[in-house]
Amino acid sequence: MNKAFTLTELVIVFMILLLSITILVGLSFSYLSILNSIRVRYLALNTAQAGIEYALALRNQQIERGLSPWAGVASKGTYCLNFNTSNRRIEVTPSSNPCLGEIPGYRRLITYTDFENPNNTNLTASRAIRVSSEVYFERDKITLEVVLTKWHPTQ
Amino acid sequence: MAPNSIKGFTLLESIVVLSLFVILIFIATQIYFNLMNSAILAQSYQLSLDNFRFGAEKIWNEIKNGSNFVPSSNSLEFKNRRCQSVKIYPTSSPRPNLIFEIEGRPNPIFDDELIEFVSFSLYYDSPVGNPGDPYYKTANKIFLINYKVNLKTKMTKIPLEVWQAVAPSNSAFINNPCQ
Repeated sequence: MNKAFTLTELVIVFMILLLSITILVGLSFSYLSILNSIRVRYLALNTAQAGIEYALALRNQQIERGLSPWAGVASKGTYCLNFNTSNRRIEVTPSSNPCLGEIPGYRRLITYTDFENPNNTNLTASRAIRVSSEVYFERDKITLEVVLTKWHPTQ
Repeated sequence: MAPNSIKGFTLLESIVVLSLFVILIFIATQIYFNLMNSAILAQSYQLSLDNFRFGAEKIWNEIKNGSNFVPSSNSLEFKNRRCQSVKIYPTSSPRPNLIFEIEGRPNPIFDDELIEFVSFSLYYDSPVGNPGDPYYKTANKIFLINYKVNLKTKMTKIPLEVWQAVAPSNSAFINNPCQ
């Protein structure tokens, strides 16, 4: 006697079919989301590197002006550093929250601590400063660090 | 003679099965083409982004180790680590691109098959020193570069805007590194 398919068999067949289609569609989207993630992280890395460059340039600018290399950032803590393209100066603002960087959606916070004695809160006489540049984006975070020294023949 | 109990498919059953088969083939084909398009898009996007990153990092490295900067809003002249004359500037012919010129020999930075160059802007500080002062008083301490490009993929163009900051390493020197 010929038998028809049972409901269970049909449901299993359609589930397998649906699963295959979902996997294939997901695969095509995952290609693009990985690439988007590479782009987003590249932009975040640039924003973090810009923070480090501003810290380096700020130290060099203070030396150029005959000031202490840590003028403006002489207290241990967190700051926002940005380059003002109008007055062509690096602007320093003490802040506990990350500030908007060059690109919307990427927020940056720079931390200054004494490299030799992390508990030291007054950095005026510090010989080396650890500068950490943190960038917050899309529920993710990237951090770059550098150690700046006080050394300069005029200091 | 065949017994009456053996039955063939009715026309309706055949039509339903064939229709389902055609619909499934159609869906599978669409998915396959989407997958192929995504793979092609992904590959060309990756190539374009890599080409941009390579060019931008080259400029960053050269400025980082450069000296004697003469900046303007969309070009920069300086000496590289070997004290050769370098000039970075945009061009519109034969195709828009950014030119990296060493000792008068121009080279395009981006592959115009992969990158459509849109603009290059340069922002920089103004040192307090006067001519004759020690180098660290007259050297630029920071450059902020804005690149606008379109990444070319086989199907579309994807706009990309990148800001890059560079603090030249030599700018705290007492003496001009390329006197």
